[in-house]
Amino acid sequence: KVLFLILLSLSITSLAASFENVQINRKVVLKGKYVSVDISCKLRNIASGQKDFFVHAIHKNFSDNLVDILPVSKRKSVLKVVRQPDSSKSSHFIQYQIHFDRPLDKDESIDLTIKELYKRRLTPIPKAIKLREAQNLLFEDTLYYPTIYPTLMQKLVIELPAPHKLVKQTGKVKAEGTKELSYGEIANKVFEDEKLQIIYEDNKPLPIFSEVVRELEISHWGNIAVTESYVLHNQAAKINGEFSRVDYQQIKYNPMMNEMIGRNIIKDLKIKIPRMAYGLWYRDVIGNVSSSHATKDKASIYWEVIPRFPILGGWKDEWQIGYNLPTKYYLKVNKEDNEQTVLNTSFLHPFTDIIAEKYTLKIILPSGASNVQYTKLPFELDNLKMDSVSSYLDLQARPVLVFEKKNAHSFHSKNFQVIYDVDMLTRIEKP
Amino acid sequence: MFVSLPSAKQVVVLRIFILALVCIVAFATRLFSVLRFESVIHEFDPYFNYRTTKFLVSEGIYNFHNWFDDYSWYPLGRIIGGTIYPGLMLTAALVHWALNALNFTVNIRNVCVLTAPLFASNTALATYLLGKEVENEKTGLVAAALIAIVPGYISRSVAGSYDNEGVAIFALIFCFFLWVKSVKTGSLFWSAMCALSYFYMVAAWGGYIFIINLIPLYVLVMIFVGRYSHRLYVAYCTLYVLGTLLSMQVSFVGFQPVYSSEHMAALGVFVFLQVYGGIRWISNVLPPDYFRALFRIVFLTVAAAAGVAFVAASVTGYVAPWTGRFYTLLDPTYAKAHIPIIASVSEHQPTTWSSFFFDLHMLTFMLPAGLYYCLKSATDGNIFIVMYGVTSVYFAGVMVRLMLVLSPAACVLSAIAISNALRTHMTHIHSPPADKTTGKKGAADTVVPYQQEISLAIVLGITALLVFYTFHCTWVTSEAYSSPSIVLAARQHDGGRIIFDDFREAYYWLRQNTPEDAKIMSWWDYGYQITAMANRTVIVDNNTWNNSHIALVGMAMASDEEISYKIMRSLDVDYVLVIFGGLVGYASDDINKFLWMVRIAGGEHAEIREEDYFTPQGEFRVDREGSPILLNCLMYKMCYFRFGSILTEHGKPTGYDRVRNTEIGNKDFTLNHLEEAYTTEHWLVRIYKVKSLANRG
Repeated sequence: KVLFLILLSLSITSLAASFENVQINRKVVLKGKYVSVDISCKLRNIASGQKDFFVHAIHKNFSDNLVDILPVSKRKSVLKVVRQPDSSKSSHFIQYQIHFDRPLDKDESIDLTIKELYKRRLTPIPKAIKLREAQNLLFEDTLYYPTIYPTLMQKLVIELPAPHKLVKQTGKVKAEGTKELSYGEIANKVFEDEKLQIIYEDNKPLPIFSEVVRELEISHWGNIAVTESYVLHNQAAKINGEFSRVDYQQIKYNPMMNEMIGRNIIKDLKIKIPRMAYGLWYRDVIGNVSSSHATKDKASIYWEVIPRFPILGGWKDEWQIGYNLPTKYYLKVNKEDNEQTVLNTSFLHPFTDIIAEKYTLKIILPSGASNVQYTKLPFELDNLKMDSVSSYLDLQARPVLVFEKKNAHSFHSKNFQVIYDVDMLTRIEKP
Repeated sequence: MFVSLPSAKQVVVLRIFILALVCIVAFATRLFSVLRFESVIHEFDPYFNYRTTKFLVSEGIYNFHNWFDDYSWYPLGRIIGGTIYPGLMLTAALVHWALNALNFTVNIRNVCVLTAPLFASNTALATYLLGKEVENEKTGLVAAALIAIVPGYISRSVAGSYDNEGVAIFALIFCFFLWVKSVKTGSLFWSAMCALSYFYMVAAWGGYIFIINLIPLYVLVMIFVGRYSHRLYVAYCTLYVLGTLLSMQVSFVGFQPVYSSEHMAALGVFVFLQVYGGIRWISNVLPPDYFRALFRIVFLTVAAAAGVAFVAASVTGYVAPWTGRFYTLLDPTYAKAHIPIIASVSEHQPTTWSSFFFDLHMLTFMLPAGLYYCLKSATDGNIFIVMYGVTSVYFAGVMVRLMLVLSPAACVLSAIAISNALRTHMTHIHSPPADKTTGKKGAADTVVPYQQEISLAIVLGITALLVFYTFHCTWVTSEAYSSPSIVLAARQHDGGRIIFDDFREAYYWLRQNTPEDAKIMSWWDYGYQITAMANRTVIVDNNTWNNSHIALVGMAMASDEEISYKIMRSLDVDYVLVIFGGLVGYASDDINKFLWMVRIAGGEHAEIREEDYFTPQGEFRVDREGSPILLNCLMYKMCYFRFGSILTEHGKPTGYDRVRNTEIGNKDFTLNHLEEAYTTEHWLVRIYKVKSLANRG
């Protein structure tokens, strides 16, 4: 029994020390709507045997903000990420296993890039500002690379919107450029939980969808009806005191002079939808929203979706948009098997640059569709189920394929196919 | 196709075809607003009806019946089930359920929007039946065609105008048709049907009072002109007993049919009819001398006793006094003098002559012609329609809203005139005058020279009138009655259309970006819209049952900020909403309604005096000359906050109000207890947040 315990403790230590980070270059990008961290790392297997995966750690403080981890090997293949089952044991980290595309031999090293995407990590400080005031954002991170392995050499660079206006930061900056803070090279360090705080001026709005539902209803009479409903929040600084229309409308009359006003307000959102789309509509629960424009070129329709009211920091808006797509471009009937139909569609909604915290894609197939399959998506789904719905004088319910994904973002904007059978008889009966 | 059919069948086919066309026209002409704007509910009251219908559809009938709505009349709330006529909501919900049971997924909003046009088609059919019953099928067809497009009715039944009247006019006409039918037949079956349709009318609209007073009046008239019959007796007694019992099932009506003054006439006539029937029977049995003596004694005693009883009941309050609206009907000047809240509603104003012509066009002068034809050959049905016409002309004259009740009467009477005139003169055109000299009875006919030409001219004249009528109706519908009023449209200089969607912008902002339990104070006009679209609690709304609560809001608007703040704190107000048209020139804004607020507030609170808001010359002005009390009251400040720095028109000073066409008098002021929370794009709606009390110490 004692021997067993010793063995066990040995195995834990050996796991902990099975890799070393030879070189870590961490770049935190604060320019976009969300925080992304690009880590390029060189990893060496110092264990006694082959290894299939290594453990990537996310600090507990930010684990709720994590949207996605995308590890890419040198050969540009996306690696598999699995959450470590017993990761709650560690005090600092949530651990993920990243599986190599081929096993790593003893003493072999590998180069990887890991891209992490976070939401809601930029907090306005102070929480509320006046309409004309500048907005400061607070970003927090650990100064050292979070890892369970020893790190030989690490570097941290924080990229700010240029020209940056730094208000406050903790940590020893080695070099300060116009658009980045560089924290120099730190050698031979085991992880230490030291906080890094940066407060900088950034007047951008911080949009996020708390919920998006996209619905495609297929009719074999030639139409795919797309209906999308959105709940948008602006995480930017709230307004302190009054929202003065007099001040706000000065942007319109004198945009150059008054660019200081309300810069963190979401005024419009631009999306691109397929050129073949027709019958665009935009409404909410109380009726049409008449404020939007759409223009067309050879490839796409550019749609400027303007909310009923400017969305200030802390405000939210809900709306639905929709359009129709002709089936001839999106539905293909299998030449050999006349009953099999293939639907080609994008997984994501058209507001691709905004994260949807809860995303649902519903594909309503024609009534009588059977043998429903879909091509594999290059990412994991959170839930997948079959449902059914009846509409428009249906005698037989329509099957609905429901995909659910938390934190859907631009990476998930992938085309895929749904394949189903409808026999000729039902097709005539009710397309 | 028709040629192969026998001519009687041709007529039937043709009639069905015409009726179908009439129904389609009635439906289609009401869709202007849907096509021009969108499928949206209009105006104010329909928003309440829409909201309650949604509740009914989602929660079911029992919850609807027991619904206590804490979103209106904060802090009092409102028992919805017991204070509305549920006919409309139930009708729409039934349509919705029926369609969805067939898997025909129409959402409840579209059902509500299209309820009124659908019932307009039904009304056309009911009018056909009424016309047929009163005169003949041909008259019925003309009446149906006329009512399909009469503006007086369209004004209340365009798509989106989801109001009680929409279904009630159908119920009214149908009830009258069944009443005429039951008087003509004396059949229990038809009387019972009439009672049922009366029940539907009671469930749908407070205007049922009109039926329950008109029918007894008709019965009385029939008796006095000596047309009493057993048919009349059966019809009335059945209707009264069944109808009253049924109407008491509507919880809003409750026991009113037995104790309120409005229903006393019906009860009186019911009793009188029994007495009259009894007397007739006795007079048949007794010799005339005895009968006369007996009659005199009994009659005098009973009349005296009844009079004493009625006075006693009124004095002790057992019989409820007449409501304000009812007094207004009898004495048009009553409301102005006593109840400003009723007088302040534009649809309760007396009707102008021009609006008679506007709403009825040629029916205005066809109506007397119809009366003439009816009285020339009076039948039971004719007399009823004459009485309906005459009383509704009176009521339409008193209250502009009741033009709605007059329209069907005008249509039926005009149809009688038109179809009679056409029938007479058409035969004259067809048969040459030579025939007349030899044939038939009439020496009188032959005396008229140029018979054929005159007839031709008259027929052409009527045709021309009908054509003009059609054009007029379409024009009125499209120009005047098809604007949803929630979305405003205006022409730009370059001819393009500009949409002002500010109301929904503001309501949606409230819905999205205020706490769910926020209380919104606004003038009562906007209460229904706020609860329906913003889904927030309001202090007062369009159900103006509590005058003192409204007066309190009026006082908050009319006082200066310090006093208002106290009132608003006591009412837990979080946001105040005002409508301001000064930037874009929208005339029905809160400043123009302001005097009514002052008047209503003044009725309850002595501090608010109407004279204080006028200049010494007695003018209501917002410029420098205006009364200082007006220029410093909360309503003024909320409307014109920071307006003084805005240039609204070229060549005018800043702060130029485009509704009042004047530069405002008080430009430079701040608000201490309120802050601007949101103002819509065109400044139509301004929302202020009531600040909480400053921290002490």
